[in-house]
Amino acid sequence: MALLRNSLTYVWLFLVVTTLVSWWLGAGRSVMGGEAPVLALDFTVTVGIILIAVVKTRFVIWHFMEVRHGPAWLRWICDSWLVFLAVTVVALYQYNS
Amino acid sequence: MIPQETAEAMLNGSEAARGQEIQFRSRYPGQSAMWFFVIGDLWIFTCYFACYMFDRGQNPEAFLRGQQTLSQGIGAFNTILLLTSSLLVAFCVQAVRAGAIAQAKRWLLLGGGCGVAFLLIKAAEWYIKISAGLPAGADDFFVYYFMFTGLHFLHVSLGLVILTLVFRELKTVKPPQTAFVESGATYWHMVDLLWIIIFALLYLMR
Amino acid sequence: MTGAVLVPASGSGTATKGFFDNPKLDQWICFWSIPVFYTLFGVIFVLLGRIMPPPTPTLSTAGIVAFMTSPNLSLAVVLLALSLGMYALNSGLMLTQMKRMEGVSPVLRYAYIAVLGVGGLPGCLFPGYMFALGAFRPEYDPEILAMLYDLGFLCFVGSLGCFVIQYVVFTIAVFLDKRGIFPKWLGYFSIWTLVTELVATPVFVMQTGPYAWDGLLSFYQGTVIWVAWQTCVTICLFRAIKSQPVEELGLPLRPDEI
Repeated sequence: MALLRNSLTYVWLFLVVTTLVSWWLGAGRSVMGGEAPVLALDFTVTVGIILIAVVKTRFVIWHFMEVRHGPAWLRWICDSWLVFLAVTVVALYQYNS
Repeated sequence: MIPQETAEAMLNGSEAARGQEIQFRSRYPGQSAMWFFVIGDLWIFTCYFACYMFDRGQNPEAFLRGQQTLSQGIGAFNTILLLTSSLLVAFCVQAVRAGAIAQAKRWLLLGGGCGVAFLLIKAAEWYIKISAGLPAGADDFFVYYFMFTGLHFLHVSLGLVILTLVFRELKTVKPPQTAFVESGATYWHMVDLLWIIIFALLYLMR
Repeated sequence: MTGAVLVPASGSGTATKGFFDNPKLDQWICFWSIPVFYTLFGVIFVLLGRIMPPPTPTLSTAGIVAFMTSPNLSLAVVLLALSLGMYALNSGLMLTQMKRMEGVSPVLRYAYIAVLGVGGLPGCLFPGYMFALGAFRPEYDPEILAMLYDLGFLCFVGSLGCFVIQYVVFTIAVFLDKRGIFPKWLGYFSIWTLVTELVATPVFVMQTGPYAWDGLLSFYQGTVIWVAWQTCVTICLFRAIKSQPVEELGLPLRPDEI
């Protein structure tokens, strides 16, 4: 099938799997296990979820938006924005808690 | 003569290949104005995310309490819906480049359909939230919740308008402008990636 | 005499002889009223009135009384009441240029003008009049002054809907325009302004934090983007007037040109 020969299909598959993994990380344990709702900060889980989100974002920018074929300045802007976002979010999380 | 000719051909060949590679590398899909918008919009949202993280740190318990009332399952389903929609629109762009307009229109309709489904589910989620009443003491979280999802809703709606214009282009202009289709797709992917971050920050993180 | 016909170079209105010969004189006068108006705007709201950046919604009663009864504030309101109408010149100029767009329904520019005419009332004039009351009769009960203070600032920061439609209408017009009177990126810029304007919605419920009327998101981000947008629109307006062909103005030819 043509879809299976298209690399975008595999990018999408990766994105779906990482979405499910981050869901399991963030909520799965309380929802699937039927435990009491989690009411505690959890640095490891949070950083994991944020990293997954950043990797997913990078995949969308790189493959769907086709920045990987783009000019150097565009790739540079996109990557530095992503790094800035990740550092800001994690730093603010860590700084306050 | 022969070796020189071969060398020349090789040189030419490699040069041509390199030239093609450079041309391929240095082009971005769509119109530059769309990239101007996308980059600016990403920075504006970064300001919102930073504010959210700061406020959340001031009162993490209230935010966690608010977060617990959200349905992560609906959020995850919506994420997958938008990812699928992005994929379909990317297929549409590929089809336009290959000249398969009928196929492109089909992909675009399917992609737009996923976008409409996303909006309906989001509206249902809001309805459930509002009719159930907001938990006390989690006001700050819900201001952010409605603000982020509302702004994103607006972006998706605008994206659907843009996809409609792309569809009109595919239907009426022969051959359609590839750059215009690519611009629409770029916007749509941006909506998708903003949701990926909103999903992580609002629904998932602890 | 036909040999001596002076054909003005199209695209440039400055090629003509004297000041009054400039065929776009009307537009240029309106154009230069824009920087004058926004300078006055800055003097009124920032320097004299101290309305921008706004004081906090949680200001103490003594602080509110001091703000409301300040003589500088009433001077600012007088200036505002006198000069606010100047922004109509700006609007008229925008309408003139929007009329040149091609493939854009006239409904959009009528809506643009109508919404600007309405938006200035809650956005500038009402708050001004509410703030004027404090200096007008200082013996008002502090609680009444506090109410006027709240009402004034909610009007000032919360006058959202009109400007939202202004940006929507402008964006659509810029995108549909086939002549490129305004560049397409200006349309995208208007979407940012629209987004930052919408973010101020929670001022009606929040007293502290980034969504209060003195908040980072409600006020500062929106204001920074709006100032940048207004600057870009003014520059683009300048270019649009400059590149307008003189033939398009529909002026009668002067005797020496016949």
